Amino acid sequence: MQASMLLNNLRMKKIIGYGLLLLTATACKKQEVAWERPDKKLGELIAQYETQLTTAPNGWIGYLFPEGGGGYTFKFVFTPDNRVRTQAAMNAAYATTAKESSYRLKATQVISLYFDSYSYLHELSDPDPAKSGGAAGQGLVSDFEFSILNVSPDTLRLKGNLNGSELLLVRANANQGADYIERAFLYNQYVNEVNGFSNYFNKIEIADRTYGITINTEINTVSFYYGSDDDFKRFNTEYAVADDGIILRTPFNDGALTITSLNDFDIEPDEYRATLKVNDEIDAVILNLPEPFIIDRDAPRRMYIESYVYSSSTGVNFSGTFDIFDVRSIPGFVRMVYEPRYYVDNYDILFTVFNNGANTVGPVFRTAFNSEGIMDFSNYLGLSGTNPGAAHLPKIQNTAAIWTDPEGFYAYQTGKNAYDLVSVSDGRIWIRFR
Amino acid sequence: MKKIILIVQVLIVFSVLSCQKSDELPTDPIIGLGGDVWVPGEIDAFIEDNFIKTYNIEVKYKWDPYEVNYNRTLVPPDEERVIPVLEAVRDIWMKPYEKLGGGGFLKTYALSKFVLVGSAEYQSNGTIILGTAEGGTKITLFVVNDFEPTNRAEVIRMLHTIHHEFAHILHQTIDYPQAWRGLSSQWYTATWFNSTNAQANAQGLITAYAKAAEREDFVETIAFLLVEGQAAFDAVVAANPDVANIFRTKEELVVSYYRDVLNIDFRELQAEVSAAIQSITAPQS
Repeated sequence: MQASMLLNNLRMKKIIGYGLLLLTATACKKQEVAWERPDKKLGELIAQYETQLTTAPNGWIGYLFPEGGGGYTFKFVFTPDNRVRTQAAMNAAYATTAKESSYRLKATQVISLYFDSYSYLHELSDPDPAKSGGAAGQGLVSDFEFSILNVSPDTLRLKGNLNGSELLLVRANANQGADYIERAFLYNQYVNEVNGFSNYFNKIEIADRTYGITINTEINTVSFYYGSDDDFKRFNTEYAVADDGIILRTPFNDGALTITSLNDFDIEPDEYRATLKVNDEIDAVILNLPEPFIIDRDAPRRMYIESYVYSSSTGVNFSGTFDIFDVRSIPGFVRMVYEPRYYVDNYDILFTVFNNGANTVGPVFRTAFNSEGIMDFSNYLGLSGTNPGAAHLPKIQNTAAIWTDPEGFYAYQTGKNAYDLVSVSDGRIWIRFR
Repeated sequence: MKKIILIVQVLIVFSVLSCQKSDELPTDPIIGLGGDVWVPGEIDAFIEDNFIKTYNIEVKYKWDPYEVNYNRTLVPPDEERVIPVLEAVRDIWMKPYEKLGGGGFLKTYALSKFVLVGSAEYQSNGTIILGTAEGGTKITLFVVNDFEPTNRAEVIRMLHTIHHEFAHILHQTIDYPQAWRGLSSQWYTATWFNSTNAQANAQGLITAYAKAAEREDFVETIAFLLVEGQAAFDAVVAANPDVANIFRTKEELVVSYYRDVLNIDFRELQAEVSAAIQSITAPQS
């Protein structure tokens, strides 16, 4: 017993001794990997991004797809002094006049591009409904600080840090100069003439295929409706505006046909038809229809059950005339809103917001919808809110009369939470909500 | 045995010494240490001259998500509005206090930071936040993008916010008098926004927001007396004779707080602020 312990003891000492020797011999044998400090890499990347952004001679075309829906085309010219000049195809003034503001690249978890003082881009994020046209406290659910996810010499792919909107920056080429955004804006206005045909319903014929089509130039989405009444199919996507057509964010696939862009519109407003090219090569024609091409029977339900404040910038459109009742001339007009379940007892409202958001007026009613895809607004309780004055009250009354038509409306979804309502009794009467 | 110990000791010394090496300290700067940097412009120079050099107050006007409520939708200020807002802050808030409280006043009751935000902060209960004061050092001013120096109502709204928030800083440093307690305790409520200003006035509170809490009551009374002015205050008191004594007690407490605690003549301060508002809003002739 004792002998074996002694033996063990000796053995242990030997092992410890050899172990130490081994340690000493190997202790300093190491392979130096040239680790870089993270800050060095970050600093290099920031410098690289900044060089890339500021050395594009014609700036960058920005395609912004807010999380709240829609598509917006911008032009950004970045300079090394943290300044950026922005043009936006949002309205004529923004398209022509560049606004200067600031930007910076910030090393957050992923290096981010901050548009850090107010510009056209921020209007989409503005929580003030009078500025964004969106919901109070949310705006159009967009972004102005973006993580840089993916970089190639001519393209940067970015994602919004707050809401996750997508921003694509594409290096502008030589013919996308200072007037490019204006040209793109005007082209989109031109495309909008297909919404000025007499009836709401349009179909597009591409080779031997036909689809119902809606181009919503307000939020820049294109929608195809097809299939049969029992097997209705819908495809919505945002599009980017170019100066000769529109480019689909997500291509439309139907069997062998893939649509990536619609170009070279030739609109004949008096004939209510437009010829165009699909993907720059296939001839196509858009024709106006007095009756629906196809009915989306589920759309009224989808629209009604969503807890959302639907907003219209024009009110009622009739036979190619936007805002037939001229509600936009009510002083301080902001928008017209349809809000299901505005009151706790399930009464809904169609309020016209005016006086820069301080006042509202409009009908109070209940919404009903059926399996035929028709929604109507009944149980009309009359107008509620602030009288906008004798000169303007008839505009609200006329709107309410159209709205409470017992024949009801068809609904067509044109984007996330965006619907067009079309009168069942007259295909020339429609309202566009977003 | 001793031999073994000796060998082991030598080996240990050897192994310790053998790893002595001298790495150089890295020279790359740590990104963002000391704050974000950008090429300074006209606004940065204005802030440098009027706020940093004079009072060591930082003014943040460029977007910084970490300075604000991260789960609210907010936008940064429009650069065109920044200098007009800061001029109004300097002339209607800082200068009157400095004139009456002495050059060191704003250094005693010091702010360290102004944060400017373009929009209001929308709350889920339908109210909006126009300004906040934190920890006695930081004031966040919202709705900078709607500021217009010639629009008197807008100037009053913005300056009311600043004086309100600065009064918070004052009472966060030296508390308001005990006598304030109990004057309107029965009216304080988290749902202050269900009252109109007129309803609040009839209860002896100067604005609806004064119903939010005792400290809000205190600073709203100060801000109203300074920015809306004595005449407007008197009109409210005259319209609500039932609670006139409450209003007058509060007014007295404010005046004595300024006199005893801050050594400032509140009446003169009112006159200074009123004159400054006049000179900013009325076009110079």
